[in-house]
Amino acid sequence: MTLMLASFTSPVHIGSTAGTLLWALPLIAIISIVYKAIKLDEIKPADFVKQVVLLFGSIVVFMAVTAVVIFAVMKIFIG
Amino acid sequence: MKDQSSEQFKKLPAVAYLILVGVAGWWIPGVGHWIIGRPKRAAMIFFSIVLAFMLGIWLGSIAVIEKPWFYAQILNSPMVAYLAHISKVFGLVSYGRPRELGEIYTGIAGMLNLLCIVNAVYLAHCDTIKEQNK
Repeated sequence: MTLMLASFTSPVHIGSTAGTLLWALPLIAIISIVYKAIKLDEIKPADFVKQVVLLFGSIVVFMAVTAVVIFAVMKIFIG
Repeated sequence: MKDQSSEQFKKLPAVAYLILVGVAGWWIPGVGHWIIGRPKRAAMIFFSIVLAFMLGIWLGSIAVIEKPWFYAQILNSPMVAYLAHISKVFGLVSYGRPRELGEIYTGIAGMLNLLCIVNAVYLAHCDTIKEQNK
């Protein structure tokens, strides 16, 4: 119990590498689940999972495209 | 799908029912939806928001519960204020990427809960109007 509580009193070690961007994925999954849980009229497991996966994919793709566009703009104007 | 246990809450006066749904949803994420008889949604909201919040305080420790993010984090539950108090009493600190991630996770979890509270109150209001028009 003490060990469990202690894990919430000191931060974990996370470096400043590009790989830390992957921490966005669990959050995007949670946002997708909560959004679809309140948005859908009826919750049927198969349809719900499909809708969540679609939303998750759309957010990830949109973020990736935005990152590429920003990177391209930066390369063009700054070099 | 509606749950039978929600029927007893509907006997309350309309305003009290809406306030109960909103306040309960704030104290424990998803309970607002459970009160209005949507247990599946309630379970999904509860586990998702609690998971996001727990991940946030695991990544950055409870030291991430600090202003200005506190205003978003407190939307998870009033119990967050107690965690902020403990963090202050023990002088806990968190810096760098873990802090950023912790703030983002806990803050977004709080804002998602606000979205759920508003949705639960809206659905409760719609149910009340349907009952009155019967």
